[in-house]
Amino acid sequence: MNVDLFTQHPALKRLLWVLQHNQDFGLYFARCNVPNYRKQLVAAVVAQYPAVIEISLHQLEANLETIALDVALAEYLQDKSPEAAVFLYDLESRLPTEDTELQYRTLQQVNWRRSAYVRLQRRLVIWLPDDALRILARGAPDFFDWYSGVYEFEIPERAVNLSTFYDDDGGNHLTLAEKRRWKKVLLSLLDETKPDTPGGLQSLANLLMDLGRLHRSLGEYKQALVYFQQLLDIYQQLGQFKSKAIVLKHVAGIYYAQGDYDAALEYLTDALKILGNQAGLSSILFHKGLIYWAKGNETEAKTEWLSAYKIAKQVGDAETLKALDKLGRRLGSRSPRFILDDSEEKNMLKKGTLQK
Amino acid sequence: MQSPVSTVDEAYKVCNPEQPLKDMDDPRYVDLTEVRGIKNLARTIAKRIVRTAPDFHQQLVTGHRGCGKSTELYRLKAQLEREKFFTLYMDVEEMLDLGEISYLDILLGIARATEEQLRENGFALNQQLLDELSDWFTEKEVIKEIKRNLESRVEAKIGSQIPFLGKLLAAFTSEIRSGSSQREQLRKTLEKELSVFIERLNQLINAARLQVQKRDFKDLVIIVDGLEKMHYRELQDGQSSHAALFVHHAEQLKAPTCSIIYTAPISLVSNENLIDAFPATPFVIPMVKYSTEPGQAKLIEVVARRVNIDKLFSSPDLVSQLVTKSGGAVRDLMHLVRMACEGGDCITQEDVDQAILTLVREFDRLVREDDIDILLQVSRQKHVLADTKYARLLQLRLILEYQNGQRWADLHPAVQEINLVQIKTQLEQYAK
Repeated sequence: MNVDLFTQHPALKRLLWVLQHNQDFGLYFARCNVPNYRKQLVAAVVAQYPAVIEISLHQLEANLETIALDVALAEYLQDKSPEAAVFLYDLESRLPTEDTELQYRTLQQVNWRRSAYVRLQRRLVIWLPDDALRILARGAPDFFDWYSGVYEFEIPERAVNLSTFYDDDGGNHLTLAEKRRWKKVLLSLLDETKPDTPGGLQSLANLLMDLGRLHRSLGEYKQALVYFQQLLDIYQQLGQFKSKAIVLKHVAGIYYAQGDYDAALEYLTDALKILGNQAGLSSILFHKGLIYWAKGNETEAKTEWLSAYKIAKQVGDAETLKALDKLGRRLGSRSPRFILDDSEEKNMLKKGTLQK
Repeated sequence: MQSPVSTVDEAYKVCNPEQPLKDMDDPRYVDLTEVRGIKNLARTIAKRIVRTAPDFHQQLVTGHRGCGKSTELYRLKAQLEREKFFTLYMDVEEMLDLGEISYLDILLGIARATEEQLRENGFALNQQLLDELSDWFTEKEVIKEIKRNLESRVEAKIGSQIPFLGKLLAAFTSEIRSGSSQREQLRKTLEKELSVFIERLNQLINAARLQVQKRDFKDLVIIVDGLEKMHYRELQDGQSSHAALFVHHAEQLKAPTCSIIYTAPISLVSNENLIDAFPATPFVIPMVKYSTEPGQAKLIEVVARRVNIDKLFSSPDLVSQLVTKSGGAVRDLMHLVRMACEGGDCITQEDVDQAILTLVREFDRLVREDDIDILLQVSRQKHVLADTKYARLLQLRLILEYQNGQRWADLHPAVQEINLVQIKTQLEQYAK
């Protein structure tokens, strides 16, 4: 038995208990915000109770245009062992979605077809992240009211990897091959650039920025740092301090990716000094929070995020607000109340350690 | 399984909150009438029906989800049968689409339930009438199509015991339930000929009454359960979907020529126009007054009838703790017992704490930021006003209604555990 996970999460023991002891229909919700962690939890349960059928909503998706989810599930389960419990994943792809029509339809459907789920005669465990579960509870209250149990799994901090939140690193949307091709193109452009012509220095800077970020995203940190260093000099020369701060953020990102958090913090602190009160501050603070988080300093991380939030709101930095919102969801709290939900935060507010 | 049970496994089964007690002699049944502060539903409504006969008694029954309404309605059915009334029970949730329901759907559902349940109970309705009715339906274009679909299906050909009208009515309700494109057309068609449709429905009902009376029943009663769960939505004209059905279409709902009981959403109780629509005072099933000594004792009895408290709980006091957090809602009490079972062979303080924590968290999940002011207000003033903003909160059981000579309301104890004031302050700070 994966003693660790079961001791760490009494909820996992309870979930295992109902699977072992309830053979009748039951609707269960399991809250877990990180799919990778969910996999570990599920693996631990399945090791003890193998009669589990795992289904991703995406497997059923093709059918969902024409038939209801319960029907699609019934069809899928037709030739499967009748005693097995069902774990359903990825329903969140239809819940917190920008397609409000789809969300509404999904909620309506589960809410009013709930008796169809009873007819499945299975133990159905729906795994969802927090915000999706909240949407379901509020939007499909009759369905939710039927729950036989809700199991919440907090992600241990060290398991929450927020590195993907560290700025867009110049091409996360590209495939590896595309990135390599793109690198070639940029390098050939670099050859053609003449920094001593009017505007040449600026074009060079733009190219170096793209190259630095591309190398970073390819994990070629050493080369990326070379480009960024050149960039820092150019921006200094051009007197573009805001751009310089952005480069510092990227440099910090490289150290962050390599686990050298103190160096990363130093670069970000430099960036803050350069920026003073200028725009871009909120973004730097946001990233500082990420580094503190990685260091395991949760309180400092949240302090930074709260400051980032306040400034972003003041200056209308939509990007950082969006990033914070996403982060809040990822950390499984009530976005955007995510900072306020934490008791430490409340204490900090009380103690006045946070600027209001 | 013989209640009260002595193992957690069995306890988990017998405390399933989704199973209303259907059997009059179910040993798990506890009469909560007194501790709700009301009269006995089955006896009261049965008496009203008996006294009104041969006229029809038509009324609404309401209460929170999970207050024990269906259990009480099953008892009403049994009581009426003892009084020699043939009683049809129709569960709207099983048959129709509660997300989007029209009075026409309900009338069709009643037609279906009448034909089906009489047939199943061995009553033969006049074949000529049945043919006449299906002919009337199948004259319509949209219904011709439904008919063709129906005839092409294999099971339609073999299930020859069922008259065609029965199959047709079943096909209508399943069209409605599946929300198909034909649903709207079907409704429009019936609406256009509403008075004829109602006349036809009543011909069916009258034929049914005739049959049951032949077998020494005094008359026919229909119980329509599940409507209290219908979707709450504000319509374009500002009224709610609840009022649209029960106030504006009350005439149609009252059209069937027999005694009929509908369940209705609890939010309607404070609707002033309801009294004109349904003159018989709605029967409200309030929550059990769990904080009074008799209320507490009765709710403990609800648990004791199902499980052997001494064997299952490490201390009988744990049951009181669960009762206190249930708010007097039988469903929440069952829920809590079930969740406390998940810990192992014996229910301990830890299991009870865990169950309560889960319940509190699930209620917390339902509270929206903009509910907080209303909730705080109810917690201070202990009553709800006739305002749509309370409807959602009542329906979600965040606010519970009680009866103590007069109606009053309070937050669900699980909601009381949420520090609303603190959240409000934080939100205000956050907004700055």
